[in-house]
Amino acid sequence: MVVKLSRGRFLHKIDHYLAPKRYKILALCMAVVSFVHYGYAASSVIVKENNINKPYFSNKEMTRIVGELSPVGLVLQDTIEEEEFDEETRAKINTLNTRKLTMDSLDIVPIKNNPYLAVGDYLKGQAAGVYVQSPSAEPGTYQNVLVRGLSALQLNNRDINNNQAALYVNGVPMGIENNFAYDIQRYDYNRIGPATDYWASIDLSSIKSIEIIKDPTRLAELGPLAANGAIWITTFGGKTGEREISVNTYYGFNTKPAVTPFNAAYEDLFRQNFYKRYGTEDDRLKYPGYLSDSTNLNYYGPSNWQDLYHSTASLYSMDFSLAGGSDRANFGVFLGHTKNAVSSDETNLKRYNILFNVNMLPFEWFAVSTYVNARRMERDRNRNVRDRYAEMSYLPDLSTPLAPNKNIYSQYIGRYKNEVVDDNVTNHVNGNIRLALDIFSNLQFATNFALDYNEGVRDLFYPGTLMETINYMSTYYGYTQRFVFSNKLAYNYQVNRSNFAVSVGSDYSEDLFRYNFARAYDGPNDYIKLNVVNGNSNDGDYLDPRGGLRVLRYNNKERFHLHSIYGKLGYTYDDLLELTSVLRWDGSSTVQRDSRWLFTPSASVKWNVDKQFDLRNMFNVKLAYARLGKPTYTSRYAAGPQYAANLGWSQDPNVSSYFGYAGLSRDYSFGWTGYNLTWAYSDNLELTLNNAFFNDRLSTSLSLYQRDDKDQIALMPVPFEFGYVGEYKNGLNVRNQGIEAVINGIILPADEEKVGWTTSLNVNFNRNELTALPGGATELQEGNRLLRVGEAIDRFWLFQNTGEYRSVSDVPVDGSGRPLNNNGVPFEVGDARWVDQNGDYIINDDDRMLQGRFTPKFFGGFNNTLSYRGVDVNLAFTYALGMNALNQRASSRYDFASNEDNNAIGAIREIFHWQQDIDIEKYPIYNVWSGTNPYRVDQDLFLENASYLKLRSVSVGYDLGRLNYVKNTLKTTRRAYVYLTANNVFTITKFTGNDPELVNFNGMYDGYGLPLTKTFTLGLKLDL
Amino acid sequence: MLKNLYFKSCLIALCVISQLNFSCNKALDAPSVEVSPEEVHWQSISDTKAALIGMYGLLRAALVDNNAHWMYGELRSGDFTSYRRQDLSAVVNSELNKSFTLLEDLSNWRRFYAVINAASVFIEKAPRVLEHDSRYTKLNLDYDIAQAKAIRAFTYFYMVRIWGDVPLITSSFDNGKFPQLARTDHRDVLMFAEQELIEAVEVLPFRYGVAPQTYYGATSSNWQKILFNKISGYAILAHLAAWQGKYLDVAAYTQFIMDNYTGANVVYLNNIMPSGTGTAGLTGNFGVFTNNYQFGQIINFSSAYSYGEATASGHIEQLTLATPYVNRANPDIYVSKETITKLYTDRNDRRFGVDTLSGLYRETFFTDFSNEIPVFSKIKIIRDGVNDGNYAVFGSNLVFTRLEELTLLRAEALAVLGQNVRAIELLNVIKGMRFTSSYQVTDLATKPLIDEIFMERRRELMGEGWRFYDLVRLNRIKSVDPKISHLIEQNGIYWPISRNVLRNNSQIVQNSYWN
Repeated sequence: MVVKLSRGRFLHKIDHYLAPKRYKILALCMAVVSFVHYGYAASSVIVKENNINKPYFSNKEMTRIVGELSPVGLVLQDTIEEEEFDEETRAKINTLNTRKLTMDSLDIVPIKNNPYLAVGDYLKGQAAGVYVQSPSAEPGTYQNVLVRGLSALQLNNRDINNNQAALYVNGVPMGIENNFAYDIQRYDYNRIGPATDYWASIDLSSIKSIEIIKDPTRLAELGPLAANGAIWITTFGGKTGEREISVNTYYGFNTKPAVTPFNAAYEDLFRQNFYKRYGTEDDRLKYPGYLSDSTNLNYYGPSNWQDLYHSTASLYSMDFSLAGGSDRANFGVFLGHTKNAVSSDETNLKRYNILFNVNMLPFEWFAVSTYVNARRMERDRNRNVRDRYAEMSYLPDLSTPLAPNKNIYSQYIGRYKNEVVDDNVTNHVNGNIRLALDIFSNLQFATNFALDYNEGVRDLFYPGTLMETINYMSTYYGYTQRFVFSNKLAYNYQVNRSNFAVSVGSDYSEDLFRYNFARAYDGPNDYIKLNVVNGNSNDGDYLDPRGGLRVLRYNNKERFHLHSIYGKLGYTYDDLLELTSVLRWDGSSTVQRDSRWLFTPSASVKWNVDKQFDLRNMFNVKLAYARLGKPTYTSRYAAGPQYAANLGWSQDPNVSSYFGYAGLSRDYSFGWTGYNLTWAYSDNLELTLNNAFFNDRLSTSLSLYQRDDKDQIALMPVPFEFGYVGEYKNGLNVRNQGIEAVINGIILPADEEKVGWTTSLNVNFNRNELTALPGGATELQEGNRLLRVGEAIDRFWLFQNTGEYRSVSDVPVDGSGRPLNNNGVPFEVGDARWVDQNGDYIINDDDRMLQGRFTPKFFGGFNNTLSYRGVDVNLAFTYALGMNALNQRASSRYDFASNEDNNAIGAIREIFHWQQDIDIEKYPIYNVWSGTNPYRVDQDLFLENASYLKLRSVSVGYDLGRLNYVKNTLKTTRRAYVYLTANNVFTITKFTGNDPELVNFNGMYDGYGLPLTKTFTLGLKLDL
Repeated sequence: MLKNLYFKSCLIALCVISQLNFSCNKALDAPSVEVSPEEVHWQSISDTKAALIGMYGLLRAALVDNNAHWMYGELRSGDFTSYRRQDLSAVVNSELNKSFTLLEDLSNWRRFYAVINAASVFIEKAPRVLEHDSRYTKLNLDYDIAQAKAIRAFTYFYMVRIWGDVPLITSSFDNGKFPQLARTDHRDVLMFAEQELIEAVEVLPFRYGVAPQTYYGATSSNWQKILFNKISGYAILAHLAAWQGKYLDVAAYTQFIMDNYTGANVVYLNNIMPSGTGTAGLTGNFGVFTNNYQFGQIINFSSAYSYGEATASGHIEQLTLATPYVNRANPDIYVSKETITKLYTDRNDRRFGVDTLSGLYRETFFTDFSNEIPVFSKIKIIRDGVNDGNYAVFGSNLVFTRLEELTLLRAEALAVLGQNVRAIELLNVIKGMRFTSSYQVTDLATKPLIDEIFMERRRELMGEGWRFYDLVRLNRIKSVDPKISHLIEQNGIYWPISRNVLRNNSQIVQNSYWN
């Protein structure tokens, strides 16, 4: 029998068979907990009903129940004797939004005037110590949020997992997307699957507060998951009091960028520079066909592709929230829908968001709360040819690029729209249920079960018309699932002016990462976009594809379990002195058994100088130290010496069988994993001074930090004569040092009749240094980069270019008459002139120098709010200085000869390459056919200063609620705020590429990032 | 009642905590599903099977990575020209130190040492399985170890041909220690390889799993396509001796092959392009290069499409094919028309010739001869052998050697040893199969026999990775090509050693020619 399954579902089904158990257990746990509580509520109702012998709900009451949202909350309200709670008890119910905000909290109100999609967007320039990398403006693509610098190597896309901060939403740590899917990919451009950043799923409108946690002891409380810092987001939630309704909406558009397109005539002129000077007869004979025929209007005709590639894109968002309740129970509901888009390549992302929070206080000593947030994102991705071939891992003949002509391009786009399937969906759920008991008034117990689940589905079909007659389909289903079960017992003891707080707790978390990926080539025709398989499990060809499809399947699973036991001791002396210490034991499943448990201590002392000396302005000093374990998300180090099925080679890394038999061997191309691999950890030291002046009109916060990330695992070279690419060893240490200064000032106090002006400036200085390598090594070569102890880990390793050899006599000759050579190939006229640093007349790796850095030395933001008579204006600047990027785009443009000859993926020419996107003036004309590879990217010819200052956002708003007309018509209006926002207003930079922000995580600028263009939005925030 | 509930909830909570702490250490065991750790390995027959297959798979990976087999053996000083790729031109012209990634990768021997390490690990650890799994027999172990030794010896021989002196490592050092070892004189390396092979050929069978017995659950029709057998062992021995110029040994080893090849179901490829699996043939969809070939192979590395191992890379087709076979305007490498006409002079040659009657070409080895760039079509196994080249992944075998090659090697040895008549006989076996006119004893005066044998090798084995080594052997016998002779004298026949290799092991010295 043949069954047809939709491709996503097909994988879904497999997964259903493979991993349902965990879900069942999870669901059961949730069910039991909720059953206990709701069951209790119901039973109390019945008791009451029997006692007074009357119907439980009158009709009138029923109508009211329908009117309100939470039946459970209502039941409790109506049945338990209402007694007034005091303030303190009432506070217990509000589990969300009770956090005391600190200097590291963001001023969220002005940020909310912007159509920002991902967490990284909100943070840019807004928070001290946070630097956000975003290689593309395409909605939903990955960003990297760095808190206090790079603590680990970051040489490719997969490395961002080692550096990115943790994101906590209402205390639930969001799972990461494990990077193991990159293992089956030959190219590092995109992750397989929808490749949508989980961090784009949170709705900005649902956020109440964002805080950056950098304080060592607070991080120590969170544990290893927060080793790279934490972004703590609290969302909208239930609220006791009058029912509150909010409606927010905006509509906006993203404008087209200015481009200077060119056609083949320009390209021909460009290339003639090289052909005239250096080309041989043979080179000319092999001149590319599309350039050699100048009568071909497709290429030599008008270049107007940009009319189709760029089009003004609209974006919008609407959300609705409702909160209300009594002292006993309250609830909050949030519903939101957002569409974000950019003007390039019709890329966009649609997001749906639903959030629900219920808090209950059945007894004064017992609080229950639960929150669930479900999101869905659907993404229309770019149509880059490179990304398509990388996904297929199949390179056809690349000699003829897409034509720059609109008519030709429209046919291409038409096929794309009609025949291509490219569905990218991610679903996210996170939530928790929390029970808090006061065993005694000063002894509290809390238990919390949190779940975070993120899945991605991608269905892909490329028709034969697009892919030179072969079609391609792939399906991906993958997920990250995390649950955390935490228990905490807290005891508080007050003697005279001293307060002792002791808590002990345990956290247990399980992460499960999984993906199923199948790809198939050359199906029977372009109409069958499904993988049709035999569905009868009794048949020999069960799940075999039909119709001559060649289906290759890949799947993998990875787990990370973490168990922590911690104790926290706090001592406060009369608001003057605060001492805190956290002691933790963390056990990880990804560390080898004999070193699985790590003990980490931390301590801090805070002295409130203002209280001590009775100063009028705030002044306190805090010194903190913490050690934190750093998590590892691969279980392979824990396995010790191991065997794997890895029989592939560099061009086809996925081959795992020979003649159909699985072959196992030591994993030579992964590296040797020994028995003595242990935890890496991070030592954090921080000194913070918080000051206020002029009656708190000016407040400053100054932090000095030093962070040592020690004993990290690195792949160290070993002699190749044992077959291994290297050996994994602990011992890579990175030190980050920095200063963060925040100055918040009320320059002009807000007053109805006067102009008010508040300003906030944050200045961050960061430097990192590699302080040690495993085994006492001083240098480690990683691909095209060199790591040297004593130098920063984000430097480029480059030849120093000083021009060009114009005549034979320019080439230096050594004593024996041998000319300067590049690994044996003598330099000739037309070659690049590189400095022979060690004077041995050989240009090789020894002559490469560490230059530049790809993370900034200084960065931060400057935010201003002006207000006058209900009108407010917000200006947000962001800047980064002392940062470089390597212009790979320019290198590959100039290196056309070898790129094209090799039919390498670098030879792909996208439609947007028909534009002037590099500074032609800057580069000399070298001999592109030279054996010394004069346009190699690893030279300072392509190193650029990527410092910038940007006005990211300007918004003007006015509260219509102030108008009498509005007040009278909508009596319950609390606020009716309308605003107009402009984003990406201007950039000041020396960078010659498109935008200094659109640089890959490793500092390479490849020109693939979709541009950040001006966006204008008009929005309304209505609070009723 | 409230009190009661209160008490109960506390109790429940405490129970939950205690439960959790009990199970915590156990819960922290979440071993990788991707790998098999040392502790649980080498326990059962499936471990030895997987490890055995692993060695062959690693060897295949080493040979096809960057099309290494053809880069080393076929392109260098060979008959192929690069159409546009400068890195391939550099290989052809022996400019092996140019700044191309390809050259850097090709001069790294890591993948070959991975094979050697895997073989050493196997030899050391496979005997453990005997204690754990009764299904694993002594005979099975002996076969496996003999194969491991043969694979290791083959790999050393292969490396010596490329780099000359290489470090000789005969144990696995499988303990996380990686000593820096210096290069061993190539003669000692080859002596070791020869010793190992002599031991191995004693044990290696002609066929694995001859019914009613099976070898790892499969019979000989399966294993004859991929595993090293007794004939394979002798074939390596013969080549090892030939590379060292010990032609007496070559004669002895090839004698054994000629007497016994039928035992391994090896046959001559009489048919140039068979139309079915019943006859043994050279090219086409049923020839020796496809997985459809139903006879025994001598040394062959499979990439069967049906097993999902056909790939776009690692096959000579990746370099040689273009339209009309695949969607590409021009191939990366091709044999020029002059070279073709110079080589295939006999109009009856079934490989390539001009039919004087019709004026048409016999285009078995080369297609589109009328074009400027003819396509080398001798080996063109698209997927499992289809004519539709839209989805160009290749399922061709890497045939290291076949009976015709060994016949010509024997002819070469006998010619060197002066046994011309027997050498001519063997040469004419091949000529007869390809319908070209025989070499007569009377030709000895005009056409030197040794030249003719190498000429025949050139015609017959084109695209199979022999040309460069043939040139070296020929010029060692008699200096024909001054360039090659110069390379031999200066040790320039060897490849440079990758800078990465030199960096990781300070004991390794660069080949003098490339300094």
